Amino acid sequence: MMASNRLLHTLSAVVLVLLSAADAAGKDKDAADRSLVVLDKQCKRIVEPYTFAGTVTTTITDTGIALWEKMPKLGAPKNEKEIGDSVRLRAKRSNWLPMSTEVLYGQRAHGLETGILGRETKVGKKLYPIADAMLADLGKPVSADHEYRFQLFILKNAGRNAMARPGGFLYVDQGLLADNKEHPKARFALAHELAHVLQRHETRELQGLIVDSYQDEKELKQAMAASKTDPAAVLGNVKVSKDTYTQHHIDQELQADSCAARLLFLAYPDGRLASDATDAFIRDLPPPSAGKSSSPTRPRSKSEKLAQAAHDIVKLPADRHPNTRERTANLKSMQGELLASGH
Amino acid sequence: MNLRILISAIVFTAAAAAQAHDENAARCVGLEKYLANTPADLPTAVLRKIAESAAPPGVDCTSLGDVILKLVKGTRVGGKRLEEDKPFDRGAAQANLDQALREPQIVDQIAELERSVADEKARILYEAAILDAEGFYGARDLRIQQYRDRAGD
Repeated sequence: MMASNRLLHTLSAVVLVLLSAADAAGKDKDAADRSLVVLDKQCKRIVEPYTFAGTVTTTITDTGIALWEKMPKLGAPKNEKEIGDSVRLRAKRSNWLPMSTEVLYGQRAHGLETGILGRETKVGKKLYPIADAMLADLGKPVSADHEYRFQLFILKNAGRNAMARPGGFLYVDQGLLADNKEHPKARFALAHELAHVLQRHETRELQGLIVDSYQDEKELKQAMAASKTDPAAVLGNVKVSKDTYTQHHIDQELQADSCAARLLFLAYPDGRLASDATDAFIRDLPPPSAGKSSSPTRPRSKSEKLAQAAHDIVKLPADRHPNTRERTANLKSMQGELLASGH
Repeated sequence: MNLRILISAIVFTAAAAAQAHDENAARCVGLEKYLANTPADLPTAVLRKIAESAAPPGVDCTSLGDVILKLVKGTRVGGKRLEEDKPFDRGAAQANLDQALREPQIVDQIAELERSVADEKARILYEAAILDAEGFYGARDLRIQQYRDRAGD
């Protein structure tokens, strides 16, 4: 674990150094924008390619990482002040974490997963062929565009959820497979999870966290000192940062929905199975009223707003899904577009 | 007199056979490690007893382990999920249990548990393991919920 942490730090150091060099060369003089954004919300490109700032794609390879790690005193930059916001942003938006690291990351989390249905069990022998066939259908249209080796697992849950981890680990609840009536939603669920992997969503979040782990010590001290006289400013800064991640997560989910719709229409060109799958997912979403703000009253005064911000930072999950209205509107729009364009 | 000797012999043989069964019955290896992270509010006496005893006939060790993990484990590690997990649906779980109890094999296994396991709380978890092995996960979760409800009694 320590070795992999060191590897990630070294790797991110390499990336930041290279990006800094590119920045210094005047390639990106735009004003800094710290926000993470999902640019392709309609998922025009289902597979997000592995790129590195568009110009140095081949610079970082597994061999390169090993070489960099052997170089002395490159574990972490000494002067973080040199990492500008635009460099930070580009490091977050680029796709630089190598596939091997991504698979290791997914593998580690997978090792902690419990309740996986064995393929050789009585129930497994019945359900895995169904799930495998769905995955084969959905993967076919994009099979030539990526290097993932997807591994599919059925979770011993009666629910109708699904999950993906970096590196191609896919999970689907038994509740989506045991009953034929749930199969349309199962198709949507698998397409959505495939999209998370192909868009490298969680990997990008990991990259963001790595990049953000390089903080300016002086800035931090100033913020801590300022918190005595102006706590709102400090909380505000944290809140903006957290809201950015939350919004990014929501946008990733909407993008995965869009990709799922697109994948389904590619996998099932007659449109019927694809529409059934999307409609089944929409029908199973919670009623639109659910998921409204849990805040009983809107904060009015400055102190109420401060208290609310503190509460939101600590209590509200950053890892949040879009609400039913947002998901439905997005999917209906995608469906309309795909049907009108003949996919 | 002869009849008395015969009855004694039968009783002795039956007792010896039962003891031999206990000694030969498989203990599910590794269940103790699942208890390391048991939440503070969940009493562990029954779980420890289950982990240290031989599993009753027909109870699958993998399923028993998964039931215990389901009871004690915390949050998931990483992963992008399709949607937020929905709250436990007791009605759907009861319907799933009703469906399971229409399977003669499951009914027989549960009847056997009633004969062989005296501790009611342990029996609930063994039942959950039987339901898990047969793929009735809603019914299994209902039994786990019932165990949680009674764990502090």
